[in-house]
Amino acid sequence: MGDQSQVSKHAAAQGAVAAGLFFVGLYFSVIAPIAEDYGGVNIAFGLPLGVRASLAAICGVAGAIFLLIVDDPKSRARRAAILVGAGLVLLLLGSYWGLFIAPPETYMGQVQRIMYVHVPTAWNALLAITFGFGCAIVFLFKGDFRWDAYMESSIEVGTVLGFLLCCQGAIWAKPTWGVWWDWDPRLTTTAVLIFAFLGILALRNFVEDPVKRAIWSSVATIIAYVDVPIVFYSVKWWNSLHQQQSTPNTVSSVFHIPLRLNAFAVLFLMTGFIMLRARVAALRLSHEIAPPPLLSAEEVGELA
Amino acid sequence: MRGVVSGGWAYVWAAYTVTATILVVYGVSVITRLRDEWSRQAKGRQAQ
Repeated sequence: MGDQSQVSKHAAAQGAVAAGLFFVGLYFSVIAPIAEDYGGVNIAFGLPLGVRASLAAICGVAGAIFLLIVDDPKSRARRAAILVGAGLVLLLLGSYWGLFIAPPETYMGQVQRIMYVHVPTAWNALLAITFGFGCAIVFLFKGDFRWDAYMESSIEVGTVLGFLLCCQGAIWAKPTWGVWWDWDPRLTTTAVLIFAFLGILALRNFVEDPVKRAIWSSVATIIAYVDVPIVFYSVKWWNSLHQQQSTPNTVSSVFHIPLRLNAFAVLFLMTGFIMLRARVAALRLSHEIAPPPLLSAEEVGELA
Repeated sequence: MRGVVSGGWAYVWAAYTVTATILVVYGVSVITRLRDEWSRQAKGRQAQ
């Protein structure tokens, strides 16, 4: 009984830390801009835009990584369910804001509204794959299969978000560039990234030995991760059709709120999906390494 | 011809629909796989 209450206190403290980090993130990215734009009140402690945005991003990412690190894939999926639910609510709110409240952009008009789903998807796809990369390194050092489960799940979620990113990008490219797809550095490196991680997921399906599967896919993940900084810097290194990264100072403040609402929405969905998918991976592994069930007396008789 | 994109709502709706569809389909697939694994685990326990 004492142990149980200790465990639930510990879990509550972990939940409070993550909730606190998410609150700080949402405060500086959504609540303070709403108070400023609609109430004319500055509640951001006089911090400059860049500092607020960095603080919000750091707190959001830290909250998600913290929850993933302390999560036990053998436990119930309560936190994951809360995250997915919160993500859906924020996504509805952010999308409503992006579609109906935010004004159209001067040059791109209505089409710019795609940014509110495209950019959060890009950030979180790269974040999921980065977490998978971290899990691969930790697995190779520790040999704990918990990290293998998280690597598999974060790679899968990152690949799904990467595929979604390409679909959204193609839809945005058609009215602005005149083509659905172009072999431009950013698009090409993103396609390479998706196919590399699809290959790793396929490799995991083909290898039956759990130890070999975990080691080979960890090494492959570390190698494939080399493409992530190339994707990120491709727009700076080469002459690209794709625009360079924006900063809070180069994006008008009226576009900040829906963009950041959706950024947190996709962050919550991504974290919740990784937690749920890690449970699938952990359960599959437990079936693979479990001893076969004992035979009944009739079955023993049949065999004899 | 002035470098301004006019119209475009169809593309916006397409992007949001694709986003919602892929996220919902993936979410449902993860939950279905998790439920399958839970029921497989429960059957394994019963067999033991």
